[in-house]
Amino acid sequence: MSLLAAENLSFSYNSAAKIKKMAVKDISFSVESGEIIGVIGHTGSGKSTLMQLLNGLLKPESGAVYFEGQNIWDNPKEISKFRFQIGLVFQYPEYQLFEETVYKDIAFAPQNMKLSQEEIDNRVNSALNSVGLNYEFAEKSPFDLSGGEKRRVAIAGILAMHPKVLILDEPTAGLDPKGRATVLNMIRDYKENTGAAIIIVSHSMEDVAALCEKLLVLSNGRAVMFDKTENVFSQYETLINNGLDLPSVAKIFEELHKLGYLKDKMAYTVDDAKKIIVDSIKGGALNA
Amino acid sequence: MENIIEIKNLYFSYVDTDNNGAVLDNINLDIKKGEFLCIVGHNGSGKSTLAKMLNGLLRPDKGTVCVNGIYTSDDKHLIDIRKTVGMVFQNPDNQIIASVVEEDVAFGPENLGCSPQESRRRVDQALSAVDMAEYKNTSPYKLSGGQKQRVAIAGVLAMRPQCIVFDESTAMLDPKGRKEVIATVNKLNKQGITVVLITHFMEEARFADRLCIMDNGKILKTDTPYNIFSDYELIENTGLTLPEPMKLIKALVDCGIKIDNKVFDEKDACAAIAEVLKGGAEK
Repeated sequence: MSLLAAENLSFSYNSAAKIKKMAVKDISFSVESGEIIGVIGHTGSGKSTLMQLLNGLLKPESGAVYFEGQNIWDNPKEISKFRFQIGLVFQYPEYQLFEETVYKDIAFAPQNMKLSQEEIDNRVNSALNSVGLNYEFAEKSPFDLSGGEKRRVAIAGILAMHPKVLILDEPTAGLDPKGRATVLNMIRDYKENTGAAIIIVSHSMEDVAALCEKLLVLSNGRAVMFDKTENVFSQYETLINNGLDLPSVAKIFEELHKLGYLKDKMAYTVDDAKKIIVDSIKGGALNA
Repeated sequence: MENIIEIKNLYFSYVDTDNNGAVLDNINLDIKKGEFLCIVGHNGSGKSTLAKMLNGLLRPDKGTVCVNGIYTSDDKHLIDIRKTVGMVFQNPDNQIIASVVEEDVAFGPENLGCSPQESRRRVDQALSAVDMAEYKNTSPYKLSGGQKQRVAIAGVLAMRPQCIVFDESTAMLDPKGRKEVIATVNKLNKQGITVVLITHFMEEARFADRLCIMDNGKILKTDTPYNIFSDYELIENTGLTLPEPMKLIKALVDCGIKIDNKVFDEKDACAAIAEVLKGGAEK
């Protein structure tokens, strides 16, 4: 039994209209605890719609979402129970901050979960800690923070629910390089510390290469590939045809292959590439 | 080369305090006619505020911004400044207002009082300049992010600006959309339009004539992209990063490998690495 599984999910926004356009068509995939899955695809490929289906914000037209084996729509009145377990961080989540203080904003979901005050305090503290902000931030107005800090507070608001599946829709869009690195490390740490499953939507091939074990590739509402990261990136033409790309380092290796170098080697991150090249230079010296 | 924009001792703050919380703190910058200037810096460093100064969307608290000899503080000539310097923002959905592509592009020229014939000519030229002519009768909502952003650029082009400021115009796009927009930006610059590109994607800086690093409302350094990216300490201290190919070459240099570090893109990096591998094989 998978932690979260989508089975033949389909959805369209105007199902009553004569010209029906499916936003998500027949998508199946599953996630286990402790996995990080990257979702990539061109704009309009259905990524955001799929994410909202996964945590029950949208109801599938056909197919189903199973959390720990249970169809989340079996009893629609209990859907909120699943939304607490499957946390969704929207695109540009900082626009949704609304409370007077950072504390109140992060405490919003735990309060709705009807937790005790003590437990709420604990969760707000640990959520702030997880996103690398100290407790002094708790009494600040979220609107006095920088863009990167606001983004982290918004993510902390979801982490405070202690979701077993954490879904993030383009969590690094619009952030500077340091802010991007901070958010990505935060996500990795949350996984390491809680064993949660992570699903991350991104337009950055470098980010998903560094972070994700598996990738789900969407195009025009369909799942084109769902496979290990290196297997997905080995399908260069499929990626290009679907508006995507290779990580920069992989492009360097493609060029090297054309010149006849390192033909049986491939790398997707700077660290891996460095190791391969250094080994090959040292190995070359040894042979000689 | 002649300057199109001259910024002198510019101070600006969003709140009314004396020099506290200055978002722009004594900026001095000349932008040359026809150049490609790229501005990078962390979130909150003042890039977007500076961008809004360039066509009078914001006006200095102290100091001056002068566009083709006209000060942005001069209310009477603000329209001339806006005609000279156009802006393209981050979110394509916030910039498109009409329900048909060509009507959207016509909004600018019509408001400038162009005749219908003149508007028609400008819209056609602008759409073909961004390779969107075949979509002129399409609804914008049917376009991809990159296509919408190119329509937004056409809308600015139809006002015949001499300079276009791109404020993180690729931040929300997928890889293909980003490539399309950056190719369009390069093409327009080659045709003589002055480009100011604000971005968080370091690899987009490679085409710039000059790269400007901002930090806490100040310009720390302006130089060629290569010289800026060679200053590792500066990059590190300002929370930025190297473009991936340069990152790889630097990692190799740090491992004690002698390699040509004058690289920018994947092709250069490949050539440099191939050279080292070849050397290794010959030994």
